[in-house]
Amino acid sequence: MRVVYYVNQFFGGIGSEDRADAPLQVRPGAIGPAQALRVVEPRTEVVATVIAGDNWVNTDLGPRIDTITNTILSYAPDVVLAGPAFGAGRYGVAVGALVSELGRHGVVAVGAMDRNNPAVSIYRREAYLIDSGTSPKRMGDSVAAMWKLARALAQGEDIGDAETWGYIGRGYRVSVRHDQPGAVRVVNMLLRKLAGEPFASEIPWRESETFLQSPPLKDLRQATIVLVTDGGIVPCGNPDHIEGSMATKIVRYPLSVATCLDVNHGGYDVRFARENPYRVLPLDSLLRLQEAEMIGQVYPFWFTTAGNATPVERAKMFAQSVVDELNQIPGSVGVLLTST
Amino acid sequence: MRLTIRHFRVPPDYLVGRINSASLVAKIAETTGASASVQFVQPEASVVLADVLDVFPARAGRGGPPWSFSGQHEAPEVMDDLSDVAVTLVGRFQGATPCILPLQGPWAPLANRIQVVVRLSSLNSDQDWLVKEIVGQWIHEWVSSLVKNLEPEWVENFSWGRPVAEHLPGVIYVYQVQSQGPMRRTYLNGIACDGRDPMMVSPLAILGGAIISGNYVLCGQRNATIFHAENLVIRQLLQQHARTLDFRAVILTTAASSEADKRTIADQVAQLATHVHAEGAIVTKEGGGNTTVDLMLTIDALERAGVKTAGVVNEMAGAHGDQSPLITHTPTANALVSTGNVDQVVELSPNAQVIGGIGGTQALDSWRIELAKVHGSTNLLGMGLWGCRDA
Repeated sequence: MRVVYYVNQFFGGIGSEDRADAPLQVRPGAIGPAQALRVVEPRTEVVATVIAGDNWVNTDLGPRIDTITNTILSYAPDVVLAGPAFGAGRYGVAVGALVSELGRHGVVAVGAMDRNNPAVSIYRREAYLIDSGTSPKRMGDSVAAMWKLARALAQGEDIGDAETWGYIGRGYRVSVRHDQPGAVRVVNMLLRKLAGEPFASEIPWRESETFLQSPPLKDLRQATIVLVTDGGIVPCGNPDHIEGSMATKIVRYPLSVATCLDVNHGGYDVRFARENPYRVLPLDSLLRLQEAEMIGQVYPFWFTTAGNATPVERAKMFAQSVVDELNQIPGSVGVLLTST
Repeated sequence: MRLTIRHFRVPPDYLVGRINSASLVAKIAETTGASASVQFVQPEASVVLADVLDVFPARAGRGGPPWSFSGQHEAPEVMDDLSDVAVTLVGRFQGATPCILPLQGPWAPLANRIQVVVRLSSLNSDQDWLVKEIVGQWIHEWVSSLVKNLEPEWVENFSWGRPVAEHLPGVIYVYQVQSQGPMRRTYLNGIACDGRDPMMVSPLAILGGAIISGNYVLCGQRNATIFHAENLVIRQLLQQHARTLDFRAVILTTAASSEADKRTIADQVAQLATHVHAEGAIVTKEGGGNTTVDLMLTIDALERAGVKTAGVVNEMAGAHGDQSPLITHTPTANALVSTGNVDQVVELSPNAQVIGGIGGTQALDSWRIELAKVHGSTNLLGMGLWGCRDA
């Protein structure tokens, strides 16, 4: 396999911080950590080591990553390895950006850095990054892990979970089959926690998504108000077959068909909504407000789905389709979103 | 307290020749007006059950049925269990989500059992309880008669009581069930748990059949009666009792419908935990996204009370696994076991025979299906091997 290796000025043997402005240069064969690869896999041919100073790369990141990428592509490598950058921020950015860009060109590339390197949060979703830790003492292990993953990717193997392969999770969750059932695992986990021994949650904590709140409407009397509900209020007969759980669609209906309404939703006790669907779709109140000129007008369509076990990605698509239509409405627009 | 479960294994032929399905069919028709039929399916058969409503263990209690439908119940001290058999109710009624139960492959939670499939039709949504009562009594009578002259293959003896092992860490099990109204409720000793405060329940009573499911929504997020009766967390805690931990209590609690109630219940659970001097707790949940809020609030309340807590939960991480796995996640929930991603799309064997559902093989829209539609595939009581990891 033809390998091209990328390192910064320090690991390329050019110099330390005083040479961080060193421009791109290419050395034939294996330099620095690339030599460790020859120990891991003696039959591998490192055709070139590409070296660039951290400041040189980061000063004009996009164009310089393009330059490095084009240089690497001219060697027609089977795989590219970059780093490890350990805890070094600028080096980490160079590694992450380069591995991501090579991926966009269809080249198998694997980088390495410490999982707390700031570049991880920027590039981990698009780049395979081996967790090298912060100490260069683990250089050999990191290079071996990079090579193992890169070779598997090049051979089209199915890449499993991050822990098994040693890379930093890219934000995806994949199914794994354990040796023990969950009930046994949770009791063991609790016993370790109680004993003060190390344990690892199978679902690492993530910060929740945050949402920007729109500024308030300046004047309701000038605004168009749109009714959107995930309460499963549908025209009688549910003509578009909106599913009561895991709905696959959000549908818009003209207000004119709201004279006969039903409820199709598997996530709450629908008896009260069936008695009076306006409890969930408060069209009656809105029309009264319109008549009293307290709001500008009620939008002549309402949007409805059943929000019950809906995958988030699908819910985002529903929202986008509604927003796309609402963006066409002139003037100020407010949405009354009722949920159950 | 003691509970003895005598486990029997019987060959399928022996089983089929000694079942009085006619009496069950007649009783259901007479009592509810619904029609029923009974069908056997061999273990590991290339079969998918459609429109699964609930699954019962094949059990009989010595001295009376192992489960109660009346509100009055004393758990039997000895039970006879056909360990290779499950009784599955399939059918449709308004409000029930059609669920799939494959009997073969990696996503089949009950693949190794002979299935006694009770197919129901023309059932009204308010007759589920009545039908279960009939089926429960019938199972009891059938299993009692079947094992009368047989010797059990093995016997499990459980005992539980206090005080036992004060030097070991005191651990409780917080058993959060969904009981939020019609179609999504759970019964304890025949009484719906809707709106009830957290309460202590004997773990042996639960293994003895005290909990019956009345939950017919969200196939991947509900616990069938068989999983309650065979609850592996309870079994595991009983097994470790007086060895590595002191199993102090099961606190049965419900997922509430309002945020205020969710917070109140979480605090009540923490108070009960403190009352029994718990040092550790395991929490499981049942239900969709809203019940994850209850789970997190409960874990948070327990941790704030100084009770170290671990939880079991399945993930809703999107079909491609690229979404946030939980709709909410408190930082104190730092010890979670994952039972898999319900949004994952899997492929069932396209040659499988479909039993149940409307229109036979047409009952499935597709052989590619989200795990959320496959009953028990990401088992919320930690009874399966599946989980998720970062990738």
